[in-house]
Amino acid sequence: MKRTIFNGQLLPWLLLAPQLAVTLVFFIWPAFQAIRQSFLREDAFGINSQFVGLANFRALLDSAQYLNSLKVTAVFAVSVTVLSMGVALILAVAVDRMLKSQRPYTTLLVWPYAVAPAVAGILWYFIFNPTVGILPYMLDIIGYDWNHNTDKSDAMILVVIASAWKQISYNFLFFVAGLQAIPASLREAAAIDGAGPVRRFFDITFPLLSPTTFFLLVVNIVYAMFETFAVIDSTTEGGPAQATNIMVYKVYFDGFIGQNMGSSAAQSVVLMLIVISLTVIQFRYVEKRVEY
Amino acid sequence: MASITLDNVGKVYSGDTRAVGDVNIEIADGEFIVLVGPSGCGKSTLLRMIAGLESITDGEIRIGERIVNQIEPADRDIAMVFQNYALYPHMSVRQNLAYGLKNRRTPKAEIERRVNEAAEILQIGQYLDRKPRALSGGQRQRVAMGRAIVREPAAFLFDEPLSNLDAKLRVTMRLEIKQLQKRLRTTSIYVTHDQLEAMTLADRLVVLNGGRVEQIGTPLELYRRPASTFVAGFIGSPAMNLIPSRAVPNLPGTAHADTIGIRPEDLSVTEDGPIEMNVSAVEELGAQRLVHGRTGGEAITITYPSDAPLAETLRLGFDRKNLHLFDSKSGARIDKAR
Repeated sequence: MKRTIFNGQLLPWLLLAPQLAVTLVFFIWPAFQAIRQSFLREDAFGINSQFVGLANFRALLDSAQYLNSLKVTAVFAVSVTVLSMGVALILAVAVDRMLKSQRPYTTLLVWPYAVAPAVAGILWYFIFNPTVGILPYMLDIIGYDWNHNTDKSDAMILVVIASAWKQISYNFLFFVAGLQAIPASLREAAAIDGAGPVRRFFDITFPLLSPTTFFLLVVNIVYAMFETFAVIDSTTEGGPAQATNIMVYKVYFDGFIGQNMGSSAAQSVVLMLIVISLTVIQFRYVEKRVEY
Repeated sequence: MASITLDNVGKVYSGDTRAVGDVNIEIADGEFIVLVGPSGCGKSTLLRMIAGLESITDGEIRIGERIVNQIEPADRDIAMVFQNYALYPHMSVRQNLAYGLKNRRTPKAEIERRVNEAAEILQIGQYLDRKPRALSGGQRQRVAMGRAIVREPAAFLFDEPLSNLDAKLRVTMRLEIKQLQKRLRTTSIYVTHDQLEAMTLADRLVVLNGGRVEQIGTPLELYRRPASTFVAGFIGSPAMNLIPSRAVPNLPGTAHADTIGIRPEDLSVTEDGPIEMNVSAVEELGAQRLVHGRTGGEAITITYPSDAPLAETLRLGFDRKNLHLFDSKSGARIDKAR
């Protein structure tokens, strides 16, 4: 085949232009705007703005609400990650042991991933609804008074379950693929070497699964921190008493409800830094694969 | 160490697929048995049944005096070497070797002693702290064997352990396995599809075909008196010529058999030989050559000294005692005495 060489700079730039335009307009520009705005103080109508340096950031660190939000986010992200990965791993190991009905079972387990986060939130909202929900009704029978509108931990449990539920499908798929990549002969060798099923799992399967586990760990933390907005918004709206006000929800709430653009932008910048560091970790370690 | 007995052993998969049927083998203590056959003949399945990795649906397997049908692989006192070695990739060679002993709560000093001993036998001492991926194919193979040796089991099971190695290394490792087994005197069952590997390693061979035993015997017994056309064609290289007797008429003493078998190395070129062969192709092997051709429309191969003259048409003779007679329908051997 003949290789065509284009001289000049015009054509390559023209071919790149659409992608560059999209990136610039929808990613770089808003990010830049957020950074710019985080150094400004703006009045509620957006008429006057004034450069205030790092004042917005300093105010954040002094704000008990923001520090609370950091803590809530950490608890939330860790809980969602542990719950969704734990359940997914158990399901994946169960599927890996099945011979016949593996396919339909896998397909069914992936369905929740197709449900939009807001819909998932509503679904759980009704299931857990203190007035009409089925779960509070059942909990009432065993003597537990469920009310996520007033009880902080009830609210946290609700958003954790609602957020983790959706992510289980995704994790499950990766775990199944990871498990199937482990040669059966390794587990057979371990069986002959006198390791029982539990021991085999912890000595052989789980260590060999570590690249998958690490990848999912990062993905899940990112998910819990940034993509659970819809779940929070459709269930607790950050409440009660800030108990489920995770950082990404607080950005929205302070900015669009509270109209405090400077603080909201500063919070976005903090989130941006977190995303960047998670991405660095992801690339540095996942690209290299976890060593074994 | 122990004897192993397979008594009418069979395996039927759900549905009606019979993988293995009616296998009877008595394996003496310290014997080296090779299960050989083409792919899909059930040899690996049979080995995995002995190991306990596949269930046994018919018959009985005994290791020593013990019926092991329902016993877990770990408790059968066997060690297995896998085709892909199945080394634990996240453990060092030392940990790989020690894993089976650790699980059995062997005292630390004892583990240490056995691992070092095995490492010395297999000359892998300097690799003990490496991970398997830092080893070559041959070294991995040794580690896999080491993992079997340290356990000091009643029997070794080998599942095509050499098939991932290159041809040259395969020959070296073959000899090493043989010497190792002679030295340790551990009962061994070895699965391969390579008849040469089978011939060189085995005290006795078990030829399997379609999940059934075709013949059991020493390599020479099988070579000299194959019990069926299948064994005749499978054991020996180049393969025995199997020719319908109508293609070579007037051959004395073959009237009652419709297939005659004669090995390429048993045919010689003589002026007045009873078989006429039209040469079609010649393969040079160095010391000798393989001459392919046709007689009465049937393919025939002979080995022939590489310096002897060749012609378009050769007349072939043979010694009557080297003639094998078979019934083409059942494939069974017909004794000449009859």
